[in-house]
Amino acid sequence: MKNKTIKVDYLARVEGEGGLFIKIKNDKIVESRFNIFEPPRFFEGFLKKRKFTEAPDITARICGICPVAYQMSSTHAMEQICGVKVDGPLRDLRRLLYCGEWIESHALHIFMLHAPDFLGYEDAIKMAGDYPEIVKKALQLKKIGNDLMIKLGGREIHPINVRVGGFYKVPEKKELEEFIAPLKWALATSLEAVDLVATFDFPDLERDYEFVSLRHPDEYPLCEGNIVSNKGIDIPNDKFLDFFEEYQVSHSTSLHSKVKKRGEYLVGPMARFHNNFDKLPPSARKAAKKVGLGKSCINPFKSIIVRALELVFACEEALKIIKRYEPPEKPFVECLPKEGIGHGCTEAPRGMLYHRYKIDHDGIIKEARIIPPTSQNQKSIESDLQKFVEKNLHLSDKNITWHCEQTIRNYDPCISCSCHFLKLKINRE
Amino acid sequence: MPKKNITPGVLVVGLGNDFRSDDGVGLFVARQVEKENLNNVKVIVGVSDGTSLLDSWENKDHAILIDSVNSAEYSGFLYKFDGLSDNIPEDYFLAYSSHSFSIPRTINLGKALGQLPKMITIYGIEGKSYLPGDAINSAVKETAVKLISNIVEELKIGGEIIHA
Repeated sequence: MKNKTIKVDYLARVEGEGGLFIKIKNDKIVESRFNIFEPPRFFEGFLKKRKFTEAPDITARICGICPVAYQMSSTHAMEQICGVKVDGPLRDLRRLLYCGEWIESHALHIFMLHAPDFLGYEDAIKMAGDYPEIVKKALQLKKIGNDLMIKLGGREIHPINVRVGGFYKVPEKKELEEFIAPLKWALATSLEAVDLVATFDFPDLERDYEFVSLRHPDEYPLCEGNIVSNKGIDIPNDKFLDFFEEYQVSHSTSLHSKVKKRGEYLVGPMARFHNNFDKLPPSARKAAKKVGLGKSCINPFKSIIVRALELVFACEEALKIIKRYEPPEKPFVECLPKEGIGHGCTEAPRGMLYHRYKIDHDGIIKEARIIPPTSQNQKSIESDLQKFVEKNLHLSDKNITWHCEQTIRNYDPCISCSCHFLKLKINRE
Repeated sequence: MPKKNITPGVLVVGLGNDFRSDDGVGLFVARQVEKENLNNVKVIVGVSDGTSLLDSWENKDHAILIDSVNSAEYSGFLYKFDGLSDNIPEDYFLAYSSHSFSIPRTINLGKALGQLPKMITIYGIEGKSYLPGDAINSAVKETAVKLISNIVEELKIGGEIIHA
């Protein structure tokens, strides 16, 4: 292959609209681009002048598959301004809601979006014809996650029960205990999923990533913790913009991100796994060892195994929370607004999601900044594409294109989330 | 796997979005049918993801789905499809996200998994506008009202729904 262009105009099995473009000249990659052309959505713009209490409901609409992540990042940011810490059963219920989202999102991606790549199917429907039991289990796992979100959030898409300070209504213990049997089944199924996906054929691709995630002293991170990396970053979330910056590129309507003075980084399951392996429950650590994964994973195609391990974690964590749950006296902590700036950083299924708000003394939002995980991962995706193609120039056109699409799907990208921003400058002459 | 509650009978499902003008017509039809409180008829108003239908319609005698469509026909035109034997045009019934399944894809998934009712009837009413708003166009509503009457009448006597 001397000169070639690999182009996919519309990627399949990813959320939102994106494409890829790779140019090869004299057997060298001269250009690799993850094109995002989905229109900008202006959330940071129209959050201005809204009340701080509206942020969870408005930002949830950024995504239909990870709305809880937006609600958690926004509520934590606003509570930071108000000087409020949500603890005890309310904190547990937030983690439980997030577990529901992780379960449904990871189950969907592992089985319906990613597994078809490894098993050689165009999509999950064609895969279902030969693997009906796997797909049925996947749908049941997704349903359990959705049902948890409905119980705690009011509905699975854009939950309506989340507010700054906690919830509008909290469940009785017996309502959560109904989830014990389904979650035990989900846990067993997740462990089977680890064993299954570990048998897939994984293309050989390893890179030296800067893994960025939250890290908490006591638990696998969901809503709280310092921002850490495997290359020395360890900061509270209000220092995020001192270390990371966004920049525009011509081929994407989503901003790219980098570590200042350094470059690209990766957020998501592989980053969390590397930075927090010791905080996984014993069942997940044992399952990782059993399939030969170790304490880190630097092959992005094997992210499917890491997601399955995080399914194990989410099921274990949900069961642990339900076991100790006693309803709080009040469903929320009162949050009185004051002028200030707040930061919220939580772990969406796809990776770390950062929110920053400035509000005035009446609680009106003056500024909003949202940096989703897929935005942050764009450069890493392009670098993966570049390295993969360099190593596999001998493959047929069809094969290399398939693997390039798969390379992007490794990240479970949520393109619609990433296109939230556009600065508009008007010159009138 | 966790046990499911399965009962025979008819399932009526209204699909769409109340806040996108004529995309609310499926929900409107389902709500009106629900008010009739018919025997052995379960009504679902709105689903977030097609795959949730697989459990809802399993082992049912008949599933009736109503949604708006966006094709080249005049506003209020009524399509009727046999969900098990007709080729349902995917671009008429879109999913709003690659993470959710449209009606045609859900039916194909149901076929692959053996999770289908005995009969599926899909009604699509051609919409005029899908802009933000909660008003349904008069021509679209006129068709919807006739369809509601037909559905209710036939469900009462247990027959097949005829074209409005």
